[in-house]
Amino acid sequence: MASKAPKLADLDRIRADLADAQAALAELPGRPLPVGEAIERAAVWVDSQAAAFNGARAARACTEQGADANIADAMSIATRQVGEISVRADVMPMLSWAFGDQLKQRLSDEINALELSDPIAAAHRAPERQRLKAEIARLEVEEEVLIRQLEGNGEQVQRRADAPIEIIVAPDLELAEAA
Amino acid sequence: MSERIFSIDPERVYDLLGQAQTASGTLSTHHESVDELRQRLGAVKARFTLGAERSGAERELVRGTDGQLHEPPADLVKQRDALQLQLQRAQDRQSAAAAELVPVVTLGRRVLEFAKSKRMEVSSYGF
Repeated sequence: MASKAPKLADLDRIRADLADAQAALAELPGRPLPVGEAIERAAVWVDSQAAAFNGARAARACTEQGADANIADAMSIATRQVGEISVRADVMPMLSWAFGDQLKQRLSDEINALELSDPIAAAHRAPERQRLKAEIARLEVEEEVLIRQLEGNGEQVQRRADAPIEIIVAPDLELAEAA
Repeated sequence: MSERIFSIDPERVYDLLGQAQTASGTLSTHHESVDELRQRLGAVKARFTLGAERSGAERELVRGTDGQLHEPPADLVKQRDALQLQLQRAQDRQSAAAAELVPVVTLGRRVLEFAKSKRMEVSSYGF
C-alpha cells in the first residue's frame, strides 16, 4: 500500500491541535470546581470555622463579673492590642457556630446561581494536567517528524521559534519510535 | 507527559545553527541596503530647502551657485522620487524578510544556548 504523502495542511492541523492543548493547559488552574464540590467545600469551611469557636469559654465569660470586654474577647469579636500587634476581630467562628446551617444554605444558593464555565473536579485536575502535557509532547514529536518528511520532499517549512530544542535536534530514529 | 529523554544529533544542531546564521546574514544585508538608501536619499534631500511663498504655503527650492533660491531641477526631483520609491520597496522587502527570518534566528539562538549547555563546539556561530 502506498503511504500517504505528507502535506502542509497536516502541519497546520497539528499546530492547531497543539495550540488548543497549550491553551487548555494554561487555562486549567483557573477552571472552577463543579457546583456539588463547591457546596461541599463551603460546608467544610463553615464547619471548620464553627469548630474554631469555643462556646464554653464564651458562656463562662458571661458568668464572670466585671467588664463586658471579656465576653467580646471570648467571642473573638473584639479587636485586641497584643503589644504592638493589633489582633483583628474575627466574627466568622462565632457566626458559623451560631448560624452554620443558614450560612451553608445561603452559600449553597449562591453557588447554585453561578454560571460556571467548564468546571473540573479537584481530583480530576492533576490527571488532566498530565493528559494535556502528554498530548502536547506527542503533538510536538508528530510536528517535528512531519516537518522532516516535508523537508525530505523538498518543501520549505519553518519551525516554530518556540519549538522544543531537545525534539528538533533528536535523531530521526528516536523520534520515529516516540511518534 | 512521557518525559522521554532524546539524544542529540549533532548534524541537526549544526544545520539549525547554519540556517540561523544564514538568516541573520540575510537580515543584515536588508538592513544595510535600507540604511544605504536612507543615506543617499538624505543627501539628495539636503539639497532641497523650503521657501515661503507670499500666500504662506511652502514649496521646495534649491540654492543655486549664485546663492539664490531657484525651482529645483527636474532631474534632482526625479532622483529624489526614485530614491524614495527604492527605499520604500527595500523597506517592504526587509519587513517581509523579517517576518520569515526572525523566527529562524530566534530558534537558532535557543539552539546555540542549548548546544553551549551541552558543551558542543559552537564558537564559530554568532548571530
